[in-house]
Amino acid sequence: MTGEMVSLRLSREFLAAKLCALLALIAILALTACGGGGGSGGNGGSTSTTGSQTATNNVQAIVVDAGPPVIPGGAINEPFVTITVCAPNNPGNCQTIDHVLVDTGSWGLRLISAVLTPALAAALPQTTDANGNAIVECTPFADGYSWGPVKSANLQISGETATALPMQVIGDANFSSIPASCSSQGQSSEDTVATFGANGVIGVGTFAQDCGLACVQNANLNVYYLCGASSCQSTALALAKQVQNPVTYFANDNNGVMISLPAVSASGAATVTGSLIFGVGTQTNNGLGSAGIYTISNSTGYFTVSYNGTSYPDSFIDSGSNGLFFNDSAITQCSDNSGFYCPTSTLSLSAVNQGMNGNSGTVSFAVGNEAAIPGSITASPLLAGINGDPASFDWGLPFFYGRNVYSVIEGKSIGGAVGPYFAY
Amino acid sequence: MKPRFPVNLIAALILAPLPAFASLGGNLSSVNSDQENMKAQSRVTRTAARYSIHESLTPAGTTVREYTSESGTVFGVAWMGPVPPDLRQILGTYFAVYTNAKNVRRAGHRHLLVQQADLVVRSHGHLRAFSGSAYLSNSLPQGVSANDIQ
Repeated sequence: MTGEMVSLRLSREFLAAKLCALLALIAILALTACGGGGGSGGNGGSTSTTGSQTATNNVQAIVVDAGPPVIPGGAINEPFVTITVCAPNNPGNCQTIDHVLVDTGSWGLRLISAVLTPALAAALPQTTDANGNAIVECTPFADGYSWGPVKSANLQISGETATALPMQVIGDANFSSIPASCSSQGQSSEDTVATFGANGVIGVGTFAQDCGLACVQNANLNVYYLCGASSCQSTALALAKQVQNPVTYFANDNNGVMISLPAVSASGAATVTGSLIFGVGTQTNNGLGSAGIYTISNSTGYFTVSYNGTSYPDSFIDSGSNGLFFNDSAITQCSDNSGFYCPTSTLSLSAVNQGMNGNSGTVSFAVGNEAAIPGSITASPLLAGINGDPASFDWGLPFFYGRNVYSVIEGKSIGGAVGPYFAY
Repeated sequence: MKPRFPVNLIAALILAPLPAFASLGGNLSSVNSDQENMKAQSRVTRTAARYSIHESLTPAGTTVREYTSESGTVFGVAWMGPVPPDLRQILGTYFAVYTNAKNVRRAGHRHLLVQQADLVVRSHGHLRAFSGSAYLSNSLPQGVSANDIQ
């Protein structure tokens, strides 16, 4: 198959997705049935009419822009959504929060404490162990750590609702003392909008919990802590108590997500809009169609990419990475030591993705000069840099431009395969 | 866990059990106290032509490798596991250099590169799977490259 044919197919899929999203919106406005024929789980919305059902609105608008104003230099290639969070015990105590990062490379909802109204922050119940000790999380990232309590919240996004969802409030003043075993894991604390880079993150990747079995079996991970009156201690934690992928909490459309972003020209864009669509193959607007399925490791989430004759087994697809991160010593790095690439002219390259299921496909991509991207640009398909893991190729947001990318959660079956997997 | 050593190095390895956990820039005399601080299990020590690799497993299940020169100085460390290791311990006096470094431009939460005059730190990953390395660029033994530390 030629590159032209691939892009034509993707383009048609994208248009079809947009059309279906529009139809779904019209259907909801008109309170008429629409999605019933699309799949096994697409019905059951909260509104129904006699003799038919209305599909849940599963489309949430994505915007790629400069992010919250306090971010130094502004964001680039970061997809944001607006969500609504409510107190589980008081459905009237709600807050709409913009610029929450959509992340297929993490799992769970995390919000910066300073963003929450005092009324909502106080109304979100603290989760505890059987002895009443508060459950608090140290979430490690490659560039730092976020410390804060695990609370219970109702999440509303598009027409979907996650009720009593365990999520993290980062930087809560009631837990201001960060244990040394947490702060020793990273470079810096990321507990403000400026240091975190967003008002929060909604991790909708391929796992159901953020830590999984490792945190069930090992009390020494320094991820989950039990905090009493005077101190906090690392603990093992049951899966159900861990921070949860909100998608698994939806009544329907709970097997994964589809991210649909338009193609972005080499010169970049000041703003890009797209869609975060919940469910895979559950409604008329999120079918897999002819997308290729790439299953991934059920422990790490990795699959294999081949580039330049080398195999990279720690590779993944990640909307939370703002560039393509891979190692090629032949590409000039930027002189500012940022680790981004600054070739004198744009490079046209390709790599081969290979799923654990043996499915493989070639991906063409381009790498441009990071230093030449104007500050007004918030979306660039050319942003790339070195990868800290010599065995990893990270398909960040540039990979998503011009594609429908599906992520199916572990244990969920759709399209003849069982998650965790990515498809595009 | 996928051990990744250069093929030519594997051929030269000699395996022997030894306690190990020193800090970057430190020497082997600090091994015992450092090991105690980390509560890490020493697994193996491999000896190559110009350096030794001391591999340990932390209680969290993260593998840490420390690279020592013939004179006993730790010139590099690398890690791989579900969570990052105790970087305060394994970076030693360089932990402050690491935490004080200003990041040039945000690259998201999945990657971090710190390049100071002497210290280079590469960090990568997400919860469930982290990896990274740190080395002293002025102290690499002759013939050893940054890519050997992983």
